[in-house]
Amino acid sequence: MSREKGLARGRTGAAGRFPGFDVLSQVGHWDDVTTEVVTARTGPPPPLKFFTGSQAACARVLVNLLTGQDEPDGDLAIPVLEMIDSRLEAGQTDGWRYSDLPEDGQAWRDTLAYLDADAESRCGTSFAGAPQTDQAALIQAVHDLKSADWHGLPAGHVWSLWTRYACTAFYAHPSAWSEIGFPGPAYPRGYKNAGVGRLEPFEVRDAQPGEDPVKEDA
Amino acid sequence: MGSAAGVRTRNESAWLLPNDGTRTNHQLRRDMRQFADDDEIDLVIVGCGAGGSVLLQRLARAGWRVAALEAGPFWDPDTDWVSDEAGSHQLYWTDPRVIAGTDPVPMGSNNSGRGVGGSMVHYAGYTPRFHPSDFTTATLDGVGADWPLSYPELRPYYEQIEQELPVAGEHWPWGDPHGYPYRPHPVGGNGEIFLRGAAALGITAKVGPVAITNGRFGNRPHCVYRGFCLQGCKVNAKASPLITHVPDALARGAEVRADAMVTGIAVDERTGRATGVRYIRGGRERFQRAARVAVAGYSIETPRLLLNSACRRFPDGLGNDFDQVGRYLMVQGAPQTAGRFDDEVRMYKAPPPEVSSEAFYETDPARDYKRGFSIQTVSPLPITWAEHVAAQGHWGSALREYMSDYVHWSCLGALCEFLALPENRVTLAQEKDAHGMPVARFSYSQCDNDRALARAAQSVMEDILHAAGADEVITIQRYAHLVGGARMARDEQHGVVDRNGRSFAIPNLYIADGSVLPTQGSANPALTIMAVAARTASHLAAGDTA
Repeated sequence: MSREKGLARGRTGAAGRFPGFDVLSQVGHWDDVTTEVVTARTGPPPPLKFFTGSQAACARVLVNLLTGQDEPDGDLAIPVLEMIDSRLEAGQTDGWRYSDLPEDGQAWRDTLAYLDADAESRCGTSFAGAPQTDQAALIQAVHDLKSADWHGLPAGHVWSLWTRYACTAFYAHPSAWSEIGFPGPAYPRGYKNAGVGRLEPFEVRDAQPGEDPVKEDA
Repeated sequence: MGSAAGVRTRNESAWLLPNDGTRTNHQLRRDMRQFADDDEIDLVIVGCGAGGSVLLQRLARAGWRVAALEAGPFWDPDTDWVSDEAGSHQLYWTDPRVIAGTDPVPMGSNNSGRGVGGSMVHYAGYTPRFHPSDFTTATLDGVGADWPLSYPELRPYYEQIEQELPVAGEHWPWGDPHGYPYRPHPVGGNGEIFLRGAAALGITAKVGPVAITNGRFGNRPHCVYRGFCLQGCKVNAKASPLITHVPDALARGAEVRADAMVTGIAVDERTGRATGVRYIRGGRERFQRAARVAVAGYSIETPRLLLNSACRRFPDGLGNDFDQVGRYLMVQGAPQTAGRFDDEVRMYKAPPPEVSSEAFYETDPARDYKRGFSIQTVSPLPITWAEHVAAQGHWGSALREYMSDYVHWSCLGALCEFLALPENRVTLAQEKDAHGMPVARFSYSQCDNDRALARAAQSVMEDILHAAGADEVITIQRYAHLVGGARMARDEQHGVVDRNGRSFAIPNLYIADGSVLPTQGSANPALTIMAVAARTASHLAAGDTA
């Protein structure tokens, strides 16, 4: 846990892997339609419309845990829950659902209730009210079930639903792009220096190129 | 090969686009011919994607009175499309669909388009031909099916379409060896890695074939290598029917009726002939009369429409007397393997389609599986890349840490020829869409040969990336491209349409999309769908004897 805490701090900005890289500094090079769509994500998040009070409390903890935004001193605050809520309110699905899951909105509501039920039996509280280590353990338990049953649903399909919505929201945000060195929109400018090791003038080289997460874990 | 001027005499689309930095000829759309519902036109086409657009353009050129009804919008790349992943959601067919089977296939962004141009608006841009062997897999390998059509019969149409898109690439040594009208594009980091790894192992890999202009083509500008090919090309450099066939069709008097969702094909119970289509536009149900109907809604919506058009004469769905509609739906297995390099690859800085190899395309008698796979660069953007990382079991801080490594990764994708199986099919679900029509239920399960192919493809991709210097590799299992579901066959007991795309059961009903393909090879299907539609158009123009 201590290693993860350290990583959660200073991912962007001077101490991150791409020091000084800020996607939004390049807005002047984007086309107008794209600028409108992307900068809207950086404004105040819209009020929740889809999730009710207790669902929202549960969902906020869940999606912030999934996207590593659970650290009190973390430096990013991407409104993942609000982005998911807007999609569900608008019925903007991925265009399919598993036959063994209800449609996406109902599947979110149902699975949040199941998380609360799991927390109740483990800690005697709601999921949002549980200690953070228990929250993480409850989520990990769903992941570890893989294709086995979780409250009558295949756990893997539930995991797919949660992570698809959460990752799509998180990595739609320019702050997340700055964190990973990706410059975002590229029209009409395009790229002139493609190729291994080559940078555009506005790109920033990785300050820790040997930080291979796979090797570290090995 | 035909020069650009030669193409212009038979398809003027690229010259009908503006050359002032904007992407849409609004005048052409304003002046578009509009047929009345009760005017019996020569042909109404359902769907304006790869197949429907080519059919529309060819028959407009032949002087036919023809209209294409498209469920989605008539896109303007300037105002409707963005250089952004999440903001491109409207490009996909996202009406409800149910997926089932032991290996369910996700739809939407993966394989389903919406709007004029169809899924070619968001395809990567790879346009390889099928190999001659794809047309006779039953005879050669005892799997799949033989087409009622041979490769040499399709070759002239491949050549035409390659010139019209136009396709850029190196001389192609596989299948029926051939050249391309445009030189290959320069490659970015991902293509460089693939070429380096393949060379080290002695595997032939080539740059292309991509339907992205290299140099100007008519009024279409050169690619700017921005990497957002899958989000719709705002440059007009990547080919889609919206810019390669629709402009010429409009100039020749065709109509494209966008935002018109066809819900049924009407058949005269006495004559057994189709009389037109029911459709919903602006919230109102209407009926377009037509002497002929062609369906081009792709592998899910085409069977769904035939099934939803059941009537007294066809109680189980149009042309479904032998329970063939919706069956033999294929999807290519598409494992993607990524490799990690200390150097920065920055794979987003080029079109995702750069380099391919078809060295493993054909059946290898030394292997314990039939048919094969191809390997291509894929270059996922961050949201899609997060799927790769999440698939390794990472979430939370671990996911974020892994994602911060994005610029160091190179990613290859395989297209595996999963076999056509009768039980992989579309049926109707209980669930209804916003128009009250039952939605499609697509059930899909792999066979042993499929799984062996995916394993072999993954192992070759891992070898290539290691040979290029990768220290770590990760793989995600996914699917790509749909074809089949209303296949062509020699007779009505084995398929839905004949070699010309004509329904066995209804003499003035045609299908002109990917659903007619009996096998899929390991090639991206767009070019073949267009070539088959162009051939169907030639047959119709030469005198439909129905």
